[in-house]
Amino acid sequence: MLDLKVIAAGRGLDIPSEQLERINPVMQKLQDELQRVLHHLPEGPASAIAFQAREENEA
Amino acid sequence: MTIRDAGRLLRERKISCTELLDESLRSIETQNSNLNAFITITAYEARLQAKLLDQELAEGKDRGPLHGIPIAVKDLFYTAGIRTTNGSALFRDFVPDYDATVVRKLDYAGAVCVGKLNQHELAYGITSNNPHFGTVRNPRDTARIPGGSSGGSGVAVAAEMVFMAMGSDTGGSIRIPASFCGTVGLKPTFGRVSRHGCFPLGLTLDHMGPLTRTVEDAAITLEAIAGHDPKDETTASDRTFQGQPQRDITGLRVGVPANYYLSNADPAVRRSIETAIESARRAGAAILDVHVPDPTGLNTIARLLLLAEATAVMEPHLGRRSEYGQDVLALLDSGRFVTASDYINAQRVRRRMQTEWNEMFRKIDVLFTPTTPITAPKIGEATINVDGVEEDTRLASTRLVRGINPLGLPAISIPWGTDQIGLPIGLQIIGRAWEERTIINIAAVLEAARI
Repeated sequence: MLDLKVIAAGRGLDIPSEQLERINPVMQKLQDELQRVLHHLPEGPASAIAFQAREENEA
Repeated sequence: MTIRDAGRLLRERKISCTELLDESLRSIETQNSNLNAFITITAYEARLQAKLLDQELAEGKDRGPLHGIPIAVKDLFYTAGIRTTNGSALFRDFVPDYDATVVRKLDYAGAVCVGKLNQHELAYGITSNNPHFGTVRNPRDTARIPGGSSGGSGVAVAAEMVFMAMGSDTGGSIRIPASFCGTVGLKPTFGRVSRHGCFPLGLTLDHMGPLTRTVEDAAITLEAIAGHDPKDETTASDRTFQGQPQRDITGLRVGVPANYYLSNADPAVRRSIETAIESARRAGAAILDVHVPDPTGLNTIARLLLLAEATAVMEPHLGRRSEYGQDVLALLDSGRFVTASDYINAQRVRRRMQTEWNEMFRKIDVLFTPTTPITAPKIGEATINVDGVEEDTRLASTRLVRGINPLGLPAISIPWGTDQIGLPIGLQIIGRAWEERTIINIAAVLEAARI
């Protein structure tokens, strides 16, 4: 389980604990959903990163 | 009146650029105290420009369809000598010493900029309920939000203060206000329009585009602002845009999503989109049901990418916590917890999803969806009921538009009907990369059918 308070303390981030409590479930849900969508990724070079959307659109 | 109509009157000498500007300034003066669409009004500079443009027309110099047309830009476009706040207390007194490329191109095309438009703080949100420059109100019902982040842009066009307003779209910020305010909003293909001189938010997600009264006005604007910019390396070479809408869509393949987009939408929105599909069919289009690849997953990666990118952009200012609104600060704080591997994996999935969408677009030419599953929520409404399901207002407003940004595809929102209490509904038409002409054509055909 994601615990933002622990992470924030470890990294010395100056974020109030009420804020961390508020955003913790949202980030947990995003993490969970990311794990689910990773199934889209094939193995091998086809999954290489392309940061330039221009190139991606041209392709 | 449209840009084309105004241009005709100008060229027939029935009205001058100065008179057209005065009408615009009168409209702003009477409405802005209530709607709060503008942060800065540049009447003095606009009058000088209008006078020059009148002189040019008298001498036979015509800069084209935007000559003498009053417009405005969101307050994240740099304007030389005129403050540019990005809707933020951090930049309350920032005065750029150069124009954004889009501003320069519009100036060259003869448009008369009357001011800088209010927006969601840092363009990071959809209410345009700005804690530093005041709440922007929807002219269709002033108790409701105009959407955002380009809220002032939607309002200025819907309330007929200007003919065109420039907005930016990182997760729907042109199309959402277009939907809630009842205007046209065009997000071009990534790389079509320069972002030089615009405050960034999502470095790989930001797009610049117009909000207008009609589809043709959006096409006219795109023609003026599109093209390669050596100052923005993400703009593609040889990608100008030319041509006004053609009115024939015979045989065009319109995709209708069998999943996600029409479920969990307000019934009035669903019914409205069904009438748009029927209108397209009557106009000669072929209607095809399609399965859209994992829209939920697409939204997830779009959100993760934006959280990380926006926090990276704002990193130098993160210590000034008291100068942010609460909602924006929560998003910036959240971005600090997106790990490098999350970000990289989201980029990898993004690439894969582009391939999957491209495969879908082999079977169809355009995809129809609602722009938003709801009509404009009330100001301060944190959650909203969508067909029996209680949802976060921000997530509900963005969920049909956000995913198109990481794909970089062009999309247009046009007004299509109203709900039970008369609030506008938006139809989103998404096309293949670089095929703005296709979505503009079908949007123009539908617009004509509606009228």
